[in-house]
Amino acid sequence: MKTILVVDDEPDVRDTVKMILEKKGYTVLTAVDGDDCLNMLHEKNPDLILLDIMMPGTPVKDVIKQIENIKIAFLSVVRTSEAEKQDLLKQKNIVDFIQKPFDVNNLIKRVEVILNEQVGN
Amino acid sequence: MSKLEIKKELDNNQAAILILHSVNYNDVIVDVAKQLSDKKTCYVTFNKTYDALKELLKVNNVDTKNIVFIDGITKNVKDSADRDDCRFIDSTIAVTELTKNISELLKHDFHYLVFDSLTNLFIYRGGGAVEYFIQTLVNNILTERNCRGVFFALKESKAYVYNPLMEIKQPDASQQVKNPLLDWSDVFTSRLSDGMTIIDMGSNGSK
Repeated sequence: MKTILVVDDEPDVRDTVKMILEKKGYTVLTAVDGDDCLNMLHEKNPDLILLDIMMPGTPVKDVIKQIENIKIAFLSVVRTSEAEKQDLLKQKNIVDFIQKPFDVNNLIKRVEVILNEQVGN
Repeated sequence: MSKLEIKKELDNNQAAILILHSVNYNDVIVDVAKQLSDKKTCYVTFNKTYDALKELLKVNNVDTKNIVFIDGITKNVKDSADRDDCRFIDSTIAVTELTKNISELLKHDFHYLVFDSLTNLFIYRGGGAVEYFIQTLVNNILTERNCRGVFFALKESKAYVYNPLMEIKQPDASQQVKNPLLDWSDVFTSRLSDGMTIIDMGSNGSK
């Protein structure tokens, strides 16, 4: 079964997404911020990272530069322009941009689609 | 319910805190920006990126030539150099630093400060920081610079904004998760200063 790493400084989001995805049979790891995520990647090799775009600590732009060969989907409460969203999606490993608050069924569907696609983009 | 006339509110108060519902958030921020657009305005955004905000204002025919932005988001997601009309700051900036940044900019004869939004400040830094921020900004900086302030805050609580469970459509109405509303008077534990008013905008965007 595939492994997903949920990175969010909000415990409610981490716990909820973990619970939902575990019910679908995924193995779910959690990290509290970008630095915690990078530390975890020394030992774990998830298939997908759900990464909150606004967290304390290392800016997300610097976090994603250090991640190799793992799909990343952004979770974002802030609003970007469509052009900015497309620019973000052009970056290596970035496969999706999910706006908060999100519909849970839609999240599950998008995770399924991402994990069924080939690695890399 | 009457339409918000923000300039009138600011004639009578140094600052107004507008409590908005998420459903009409964009409508109200556009309306306020439009009403203030003939005077030099400093717009601080922690809610939308500079590009997203400019795009929103443009499609709604708001003239932005008098607006200078402080963007607390973009730097987190991409490298950004300051522009003539925008200063990009670190999203994790301490409240004291943020206050200093705003204070510096307001030295340049601004009539209005718009802060979007207290909710984001509350989420990342807590109620104490919000209270400190507001009181310092209004009592010291805005008064000193003869500038009026508008502060947006979201009615729905942090849980609604962040918790995806709130979006689950329950088939059984009795299990429907209600949108929790945040009582901002709980956030401001001490009395608001004279010259500050809280305006609760209804779910239809009127006060």
